Amino acid sequence: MTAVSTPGGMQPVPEDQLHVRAQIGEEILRVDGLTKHFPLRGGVFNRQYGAVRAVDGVSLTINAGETVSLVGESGCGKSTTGRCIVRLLDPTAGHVYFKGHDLAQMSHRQMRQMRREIQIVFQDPYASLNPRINVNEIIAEPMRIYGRYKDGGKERVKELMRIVGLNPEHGNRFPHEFSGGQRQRIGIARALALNPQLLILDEPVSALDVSIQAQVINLLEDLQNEFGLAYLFIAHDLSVVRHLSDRVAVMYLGHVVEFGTKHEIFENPTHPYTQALLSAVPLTDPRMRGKRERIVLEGDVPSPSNPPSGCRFRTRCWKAEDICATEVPELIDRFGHGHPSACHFAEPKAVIRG
Amino acid sequence: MGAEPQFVDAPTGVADAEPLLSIRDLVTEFKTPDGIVHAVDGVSYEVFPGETLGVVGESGSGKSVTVMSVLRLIPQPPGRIANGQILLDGTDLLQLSDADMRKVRGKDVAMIFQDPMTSLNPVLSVGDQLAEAILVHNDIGEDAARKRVVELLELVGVPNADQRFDQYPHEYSGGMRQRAMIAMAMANQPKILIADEPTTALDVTIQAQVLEVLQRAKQETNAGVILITHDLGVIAEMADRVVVMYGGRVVETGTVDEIFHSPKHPYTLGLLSSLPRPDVDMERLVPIPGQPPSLINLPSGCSFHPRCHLGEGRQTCRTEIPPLFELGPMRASACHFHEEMEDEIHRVESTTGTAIEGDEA
Amino acid sequence: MSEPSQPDERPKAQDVPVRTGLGGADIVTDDAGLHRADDSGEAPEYHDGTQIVARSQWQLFRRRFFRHKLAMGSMLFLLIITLAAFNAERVAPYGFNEIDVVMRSTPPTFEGWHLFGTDQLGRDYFSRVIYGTRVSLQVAVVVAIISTLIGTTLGAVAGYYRGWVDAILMRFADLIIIVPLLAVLLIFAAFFGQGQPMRIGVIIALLSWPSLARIVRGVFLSLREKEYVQAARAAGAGDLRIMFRHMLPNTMGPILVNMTLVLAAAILLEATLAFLGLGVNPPTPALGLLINAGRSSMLTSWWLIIMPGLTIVAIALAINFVGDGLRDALDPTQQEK
Repeated sequence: MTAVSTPGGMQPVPEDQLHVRAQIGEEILRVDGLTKHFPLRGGVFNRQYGAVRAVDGVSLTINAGETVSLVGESGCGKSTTGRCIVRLLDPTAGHVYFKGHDLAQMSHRQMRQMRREIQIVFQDPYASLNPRINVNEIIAEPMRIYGRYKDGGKERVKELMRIVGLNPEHGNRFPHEFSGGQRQRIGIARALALNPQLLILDEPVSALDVSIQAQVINLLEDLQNEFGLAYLFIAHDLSVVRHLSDRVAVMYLGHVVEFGTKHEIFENPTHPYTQALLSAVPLTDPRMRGKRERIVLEGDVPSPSNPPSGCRFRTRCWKAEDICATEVPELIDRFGHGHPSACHFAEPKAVIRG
Repeated sequence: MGAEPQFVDAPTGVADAEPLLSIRDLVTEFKTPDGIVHAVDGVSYEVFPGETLGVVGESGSGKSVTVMSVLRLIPQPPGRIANGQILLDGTDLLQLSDADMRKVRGKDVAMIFQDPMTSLNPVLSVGDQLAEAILVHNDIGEDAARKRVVELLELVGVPNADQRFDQYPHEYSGGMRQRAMIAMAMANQPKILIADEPTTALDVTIQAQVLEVLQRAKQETNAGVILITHDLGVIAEMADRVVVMYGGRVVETGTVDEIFHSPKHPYTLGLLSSLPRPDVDMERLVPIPGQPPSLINLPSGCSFHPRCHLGEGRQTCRTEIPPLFELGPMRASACHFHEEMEDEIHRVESTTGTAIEGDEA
Repeated sequence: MSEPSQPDERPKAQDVPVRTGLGGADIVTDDAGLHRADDSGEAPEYHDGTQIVARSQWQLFRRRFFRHKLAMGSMLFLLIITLAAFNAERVAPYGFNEIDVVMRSTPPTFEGWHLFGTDQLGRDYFSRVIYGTRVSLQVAVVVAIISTLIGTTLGAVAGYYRGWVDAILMRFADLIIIVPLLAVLLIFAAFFGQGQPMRIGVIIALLSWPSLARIVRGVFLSLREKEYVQAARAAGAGDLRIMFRHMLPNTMGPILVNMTLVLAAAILLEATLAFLGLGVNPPTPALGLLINAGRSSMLTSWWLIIMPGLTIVAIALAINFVGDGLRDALDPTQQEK
C-alpha cells in the first residue's frame, strides 16, 4: 500500500499498526470532500445527460469510541455517504482516510483487507439476512471469509450471540423464525464478528417498534462502552440521534450544512435548516403544545439532479438574500460560537423547546 | 408561523356529549394456516364530535384492523368480524347492507391512508379523483364539483390549486399527495375522519405541514378524528384523548395529558420510557423486554404479563384477563395493579434520568 | 434502582413458572429489563404465548407443497411411471419385441394383459409403452440437467457482472431463441445420425437453455441489490462466494420450476423427433416412434396411436402440475408467519 499523506490529517499509520485498536479519542476516520454522482442516462444511445448529485463534497471526522451522526431527510445523501465509506459504492471524488490510508483510492483487493475494520449494519432487518442460511452461518461468514473460523470460530459465534442478547442455542434457526428486533441483533453480531473498529449504522432502528428500538439502542450503547467502537450513525429520527450521538452532522441535498457536538446542534443550532428540522420534531410532551415557535418550511426538497445554485437550502429559506444564490456558503465557524455552519447568515437560536 | 393554540384537555363538553362513533366489544379475526389470528379482541372505544382521538400501539396491536373493521374493509375471507357493534349516530354499521355501507364510506366516515401514492390512481388526474369523490355522494354538476375541489385544494395548502387540478399523482410530491388525500377525505363533510399513520411515510418537516393541515381539516368539518400512529410525538402534538392498544386489546384510555404524565398501565409507561426525547438528554432508555405477543397464541391472563415488571411473578396477572378498570370519566386501565403505577413510574424515572410525571405546566 | 414495594401475594422465586420459547429467550441485559431463562419447563396452566414452532425452510416448503393436491397426485403418478419404466424388465408383462401370435391387432383387453392392445405382429403395446417411456425419460432428464447447468451458469454470470458480459451473453441467448429449434434438430439429426438418447438429449439441451438463462439473469439482477448481498460484500466476500452462497440458493425456486417445464417440453420434442423418424433408433421403442409406427394402421387400430399419445400427454401434464406446485410452494410471498 502506498502511503498517502493526508492534508490536515494524521500521517498514515504503519501497516502493522493498522489493525491495532486506536486509543479512545484518536481520529480514525477522516472523510474529505466525498462526492458521489449517479449518472442519468437515456435516449437511443444511452448517453449521459445529467447526474444525481447525491453526495457533493462531504467532509467529517470520527474518533475512536465516539458516535458521529449523519442526519437529514430522505434524499439528502446520508445513506450514500455511508455506503461510499465502506466502498459498497465507489465515490466519484474525494478521500476516505482510515487511520491515514485512503480507502477511496484502494483497489478492491486492498479494500478487502480493510473491510474487517469497518463494518456496516443495515436498516431493514428482514432484507439484510439471507433467508436460506441459518444464524450460526450468517454470523460465522465474515470469519470464514478471512480464514479465521477454524480457530475457535464456533465458540466465537456463540459468544457473539450472547453479547448481542440472543440465546446461542438458537443458532441453527433461520432468520424468518426471529422477530424484527432479534434479526437486527443478528445483523449486529455479524458486524462485530471480525472485531471492527468502526461501525456504519445505517438507520439500524428505524424499522423497529418503539419498545424494541429501545432494546437495540441500549445494546449499541453497551457495545460501544465495552469494545470502544466508533459509530457513524445514519438516521432521520432526531430523538434517537440526540440520545446516541457525541457529534452530529446535518445534511441537506448532498451537503453537510452544520457539524457540531450534540449539545451545540440541539441547543444552539445556527443553520436555518437545522433550526427548521428541530422545530418540526414533535415533542412527546403534550404540555409543550403550542408553546414553541414552529418554523414551517415552504415547499419540498429540490431534485438532487438539478440543485439550486449557491446555497442549496435557499429555495426554502426565510433568510435567503441575493448572495445565497451566487455564493456557496462554506462550512466554517463564522463568528466563533464553536462549530461550523454553512450559512451566510448563521446565527444561534434555541428552537427545540421554543 | 406559529401553531394555533390548542386544547390540552379534552374539548369542553366532551364528557357529557353523545359519542359520534361508538365501537363496542369488537372482535375481528383472520384465519391462517397456523391458526386463527385474533387481531382485535373485544375492543371498545368512543369518538366525540370535534375531538382528536389518538390510537397508539405497536405493529400487531390491532389499531389499524379496528378502524378497517369500522369501514368494513376487512378482506373476507380470511378476515371475519366475529362480534361487536359499531354505532355511528346510533346506527350499527355492521348491520348495514353492502349498498348502504358504500354510502357511509367516503361520506360519513372518510379515511386518510399512510401511503398516498398507492391510494391515488396513477392514471387519473388528482382533481378528477377528488371531483369523483364528491360526485358519488352529491347530486351536483361537474363544474360545481370542480369549483369545490379547487376550494378544498386551496384549503389544504396546495399552491396554484386551479392548475394543480389537472396534474397527475406522480407530479405531486409526497407531502402534496397527502394534502390532496386530506382534501378528498374532507370533501363530503364527514362526521368521522380516520387517519391511519398519515405522516409515517413523510419527512419531519413535511410531517409538520401535513399535521397542521389535518388540524385545519378537523376544525373545518368539526369531525371526530381518529388518529392512528405508532409515533408518540405525533400523538402528543395532536390528540385530545388517547387509546393505547396492545395485543388486540385496549389497555389504557385517558386524556393526552394523563397518558403522557401519569400512565396507569405498565405498557404505556414502557412506551414512554423506551422513547428517546429530542428536547432532553436521557441517561438510559428503559425498553420493554421480550418480544410482542403472538396473536395466534396470546399469553394467558393479561397479555402483557410476560414483559411486565409490575406483574412479574404474580399469579393474578398470568391467569386473569384484566377488565378495563374505570378510573374516572373517560379514564381506564386494564391493569390489575394500576394502583401501584406511581412507584413504577418513580422506578423508571430513576433510570432514565428524566421526569415523566413532571410539574404541572 | 428502587424496587416497588411488593405485596404479599407475589409468589417466591421458585414458584414462578418457567417461561419457554423464543420470545422469552431474548435476554435483555438491561438495568430495568428482566432476565428470562429459556429452560423448557413442564407445561403450566398458563403461558406467555411466545412459543414459536420452529420450522425450517424445508419444512415450510414441504408443508405448502403437500397441501397442493394436484401436484402431489402428479408427483405420485410420475414416481410410479418412472419406477415402472426403469424396471421395465420386471414390470412389463412382455418384452418389447416379444410376439403373441395368437392375439394380433387386438384392441385393449384384459385377456393376456394386453392393456394397451397389440399391433399387427402381436407385440404388446403396454409393454412397448413402458419401455418407450424409459427412453423418453432418459432423453428428458439429460436435457433438463444440461440445459439447466448452461442456463444457470450463463444467466448468473450475465446478471452478476452486468455490462458488456451481460450484453454479449444475452444477445447470444436471443440468437438461440430465434433459431427454429425443429429445423436445427432435423439438420443435426441428418448430419450426426440418429440413435442414442444421449446424443438427441444433448442437442435439444444446447438449444433450450436461453429461457432459463434469462430468468436466472433477472433474479440475479434483483438479488444483487438485496441488502444481504450488500452485507456479504461489506464483510469482504468475493464474487464466487456471493454468487454461490448468497444468490444461487435464492434462485433455486425459479430454476426448479423452469426445470420441470424443460422436462415436459423435452419429452414432447423427443416425441416429435421420433415421430418424424429422427429420434432414437428402432427397435428401441421411444414413445414418438410408437406413434409413428401406429400411423399406418391408424384407421383400423386406433389404440396404437391413442395409447402412447395419451401416455405422453399424461406425463407432460403431470410434470407441469408438479412445476405449478413447486412454484407455489417456493414463492416467498406466501411465506407464513
